[in-house]
Order: sequence, then structure tokens, then C-alpha cells
Amino acid sequence: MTRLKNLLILSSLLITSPILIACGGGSSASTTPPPVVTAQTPVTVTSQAPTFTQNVFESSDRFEAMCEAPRTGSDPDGNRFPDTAGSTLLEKHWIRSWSDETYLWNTEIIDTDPNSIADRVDYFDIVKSNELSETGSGREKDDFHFSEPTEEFFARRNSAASSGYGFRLTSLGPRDENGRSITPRDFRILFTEPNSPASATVNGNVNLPRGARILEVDGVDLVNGSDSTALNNGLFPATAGETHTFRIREAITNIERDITLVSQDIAPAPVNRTRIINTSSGRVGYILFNTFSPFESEESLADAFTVLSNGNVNDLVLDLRYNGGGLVAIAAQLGYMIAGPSRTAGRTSALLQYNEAAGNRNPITGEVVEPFPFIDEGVGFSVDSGTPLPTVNLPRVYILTTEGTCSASELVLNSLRGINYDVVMIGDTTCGKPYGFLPTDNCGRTYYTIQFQSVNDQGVGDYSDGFSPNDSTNQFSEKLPGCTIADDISRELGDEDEALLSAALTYRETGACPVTAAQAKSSSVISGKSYIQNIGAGGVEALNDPFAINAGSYLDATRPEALK
Amino acid sequence: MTSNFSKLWRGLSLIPCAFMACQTTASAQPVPAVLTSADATSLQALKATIAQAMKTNAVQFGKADLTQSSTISAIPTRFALPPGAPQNHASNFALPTTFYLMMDGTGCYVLKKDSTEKIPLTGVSCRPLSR
Repeated sequence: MTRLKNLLILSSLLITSPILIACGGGSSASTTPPPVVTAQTPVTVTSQAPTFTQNVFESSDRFEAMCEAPRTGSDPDGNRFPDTAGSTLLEKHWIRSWSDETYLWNTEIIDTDPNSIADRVDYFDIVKSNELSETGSGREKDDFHFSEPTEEFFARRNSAASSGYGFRLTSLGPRDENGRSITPRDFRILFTEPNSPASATVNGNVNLPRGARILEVDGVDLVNGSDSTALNNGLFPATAGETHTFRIREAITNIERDITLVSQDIAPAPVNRTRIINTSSGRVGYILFNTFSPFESEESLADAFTVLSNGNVNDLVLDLRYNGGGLVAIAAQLGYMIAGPSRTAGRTSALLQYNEAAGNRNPITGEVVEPFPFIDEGVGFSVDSGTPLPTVNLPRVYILTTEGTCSASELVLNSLRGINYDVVMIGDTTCGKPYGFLPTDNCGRTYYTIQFQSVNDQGVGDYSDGFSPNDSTNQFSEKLPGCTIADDISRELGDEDEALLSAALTYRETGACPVTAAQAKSSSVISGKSYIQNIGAGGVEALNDPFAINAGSYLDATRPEALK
Repeated sequence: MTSNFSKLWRGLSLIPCAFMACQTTASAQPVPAVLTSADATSLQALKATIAQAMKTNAVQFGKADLTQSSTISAIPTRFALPPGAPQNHASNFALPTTFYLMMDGTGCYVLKKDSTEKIPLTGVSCRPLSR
């Protein structure tokens, strides 16, 4: 399974509530009618059958929308499907030509006769580079190649806020060979959404504090139980207004208690929390920023930076540990809001590079590619176009990361690196995703093929193995000053004793990394990996648990298969 | 007591409105405008016009309240994907295009930023932006 497919499955489950669906399945929370899709009886077309000549390509326009099973009707946007009667062979020829035109590494595709592979999806799957990453890591260069039914694409695109309680889980327990959580399950609260049932305080206790282990759901044993239907129904409610009970064990105190939650329709807050930490050497701003995706993220960030700017902070800790990316324009705004006007004026935040044949033009649109600047004003997602943005205008930033730090989050790191800005990285290696694509439908299948790479003001964008702090043992990633620290789920995010934030504050004071996370602040701090050891989940072996506090683990916990 | 003259004047004053599909108080000089109502029909008509101007099938607007703001930020729907879409794990380079809602003696229209071309609107009711 490719990384993209993993991300597709996982991301769809992060936000949408129906959990007992197959991978890649859409959400039933859609607020718009499903696409009108009907397939006609296949029509055999012989007169238009093209011939295959190795490395000679006709324009993809010739084969576009010539379908084995043309759709009739319209998509959810009201656009009529352009399909005409064609054949699977013509669809495969479209894939071949379109890939030659737009694929980033088009010269590395081994041109294969479309007639030699029957199925269009199987054919698409091989129309990609088989080279390994140029970093020498042994990782496939293109591990993002993917396609899906266009119906599923629309279903996901049109999904609305989903029902839930406002928590995200991580799984610290064992997995099977497919990555599914198996008994004894160990599901923990990774973080909660502000103003949600999960983060509400009842009788002086936060309902679901970070790191709390869920033991029972509606009286059913989550750790060893087999009633996956009851467990999933309780953990992932189908609708708002459902009441479910949970028995939890708090992380540090080990106190067990029962809570009752009523589900709501909840959309994730882009900026989960903002605070100003007073230290003996000045005021430190902290922002937990979890997604660049929704339009609200623009306003949410602007509001957070207004608070910090008005608070006259001397330093900034930007927590991107769970931020999987999204809108690059907002990443470009974020760079400005961190570094200020004098450091960013006239500089490139990101430039898209397409395949060599495309030159300086976007092969998809034909337009000349313009550099993406640092942006100092609203662009209209949720801040009016032209509205000046706030800035803390600082000479350095501390960025907290994990493997869940991906895409546009990495672009912030790379864009600031490109202007020789002082970035201190605290945490773990990021996911390594400098690439992008425009999903493209043909004949009811939506294809994702890597089409561009983003580079910074210095033309650098080779971080396919991610960014790591200088002290990381990862020999293939791009290095930045900072400290490798395991995520710490025993403390709330934004708590000065939480290991990553604590390390950032220590580094800020001393210019050096704490030797271990436990030394970062006080003896009571428990880092993610030592935490596993402390709770007796396998002793020394747990320290090597590949699923300990990483993107895969916290996302996988919400997979439908997780409870099977 | 209302005079016959004022009744006549009031009646005459309604005539232009009837001919202008209820586009109210249009002045001869171009002025920034806002929607009289952000109902689904008006927004759909506005989106359709802007989508055509952007040479795309459908657009999504930013969060601005177009009954209060004359600045329209539009993005092709295919780029406007919510959280949960796999594209969000790629870099989404979508950038809204800015339009301005305007009106003059001929009615309501939109202007693309940095352009002077008037894009006429039908089925959309506007009023001048209050400053």
C-alpha cells in the first residue's frame, strides 16, 4: 500500500465519523446529493483504436473521456460528465499520454504497451518511476501513486463536519502484520478540540485529558473485548446527540473514572490553542496549529498572531507535530507572520517545478509558473483579500515536529530555510513530502500522479526523507538545528512540562538540547517512549515499538480495521 | 395626509426597480456593491458567473459575508478540498482569485482584480456598499 493510500485512508477517518467503512470510503455525512453516476452498457470501439509505438505519444486530449463505461448525468457540482463511448484501451492510452505530459519523473516511466495489461487501474499503477529516492535511503522515490473511484472523491470532498466528541486517538498497543490494533489494545487520547465534549471540564476534571487510556466503551471492554460493533459505535458515533459512556484511566495519576459524552458535529480547529509563556528571559508565544486545510485556518492563524504580536513575545514556539498540511498560501502567510516584512519581502516561499519538458510552464494549465511569495495580507479564504496580516517579526522560531508533520508544514520549514532564517527543530523526523498533484478524473476514476516538487528561495526542495534535528540518527533526512525528542502524551499540549515544548524552552535558554526528554524540565516528565515503559507495555521492548507515538499510530487508531 | 403628487412620485420611483429586476438604487457612477441577500439562488448565480469568468466549472467562495463586503474571493471547487481529502497531504497551491462586486446605472456586475472588464450579473440583487 502506498503512502498516499495510507494517508487517504487515514485522513478520511480523522475527520469523518463513519468508521466501519472500507478503506477510502466516503462519508455518509455528505450535505450534498451524491453524484449522479450511471454506467451505460459497454460499447466496443474499434475504429479509434490507437497503435502503440514505444516512447511516441499522442496528445492526451485525443483519448480524454473516451470511456469503456461512459457516465451520464452530472457530478455534484452540476457539471455534465464529458464521457463518450470508448474503450478500456483508450482509457489506458489516456493514462499513458497524460502521464508523459504531467508526471514529474516522466522520463523514468518504462513505457508499456496499454494492450499488455487488461485493467486500467493496474495499468496506471505501473506508469510511474520505479527509482529509489536520490537521498540513498532506499525509500521509493514515488510512494504516492494512487487512484480511486471518482464517486469516492466527491463523497469525501463534500463531507461536512462529522459527529464525534472532539478527540484524536493514538494506539500504543500491539498491531498485526497489516498494522491493525490487536488485543490488548491501548488507545490513548492524543489531543482534544477546544470547546468540545472531550475537552469539557466536569467536576473539576477535563473529560479526556491527553494521554488518558480508554478502558471501556458503553461497558464493553476496549482492551480485550471482541464486540467491535459496540466499541466502534461508541467511539465513533454516527450522528450528533448520541450519549455514550467511557471508563478511562488518567495518564500520570492512573486514576480511573467514568465519563459520559454526548456527540456533536465537530470541525477541527486549525489553531487548537494559543498561549504566552512568561519566562525569566522574556515572553514566549506558543501556537498549536493542526491543519492548513480549511478556509478558516487563515483567520485562525491571523487571530493567533494578533494575540502574540499584541503580547510582545520575544520568541515563538510553533507546534506542528500533528499538522499534515493543506493550503500552501497559508503556509506562505505563516512564514511572513513569523519572520516579518524585512526578511521576507521579495523572497520566494515556494516555487513549483514540473517535469523538464514542461519548462517554466504548468503542463496541466499551460500557464507560466510564478513563484509563490511570502504573503503579507489576507488572500480571501477567511481573511478579506488585501487585509494586512499581523507579524511577530522575530529572528528565529522553534518548531515542534513528529512524523505527522507533513506537506505544507514542511514547506514552512523549507521556505524559512530558504531565506536563511533561524529555525530550531524540536521533535522527530517529518514525513518528507515536497511533492504535489492535481487529482484528475477520467471516465469515473480519479488519478493522483506526482506532478510537481516545491523548492524554496534557494531552489532547494530535496527533503523526501523529511527534516530532522541535527542530532538525529536518520542519515538521509535534511538537518536543521535542534533536538530529537520523542512525543510526550502524558502532558497537555502547551504545558511547559510537555517534553517537546520543555526542550524548546531549554534550548532557548541554554542553546543546547536536554540529554533526555526526562531532563528537559523535571523528573516528573515522561516522554512518549519512556512512558510506554512505565506503563508496563513491554518493558525494554516497548522502547523499540515502531508504533510508539508517530503519525501512523495516532492515525491508525481510528481506522475501521482497528477494532477488528 | 399624503398628497396626490407624492403618491405619483412614489409610484414613478418604483418603475426603474421593476425594469432592473429589483437591483436597487443603482447610480450612474460605478460604486462598490454588496448582495441584498446571500440566499442560495443569488449565490448560485454569482458563482456561475464567476466560474465562467475563471474558465472553470464551479467555484467556491471564501468566508466573507457578501451582504457586507464587496470583495469576492473565489477558488475553483476542484482545489477547494476540505480536511480529509488526500490532496491535503500534498501541497495544495490553490490561491483565491479576487473579484469586486460593483454597480452602476446599468445594474450589478463584477470586476476581476486588476481588470477593467465588467462581467454582468443576472439574477443577483445588489445595493451600494455602505461606508
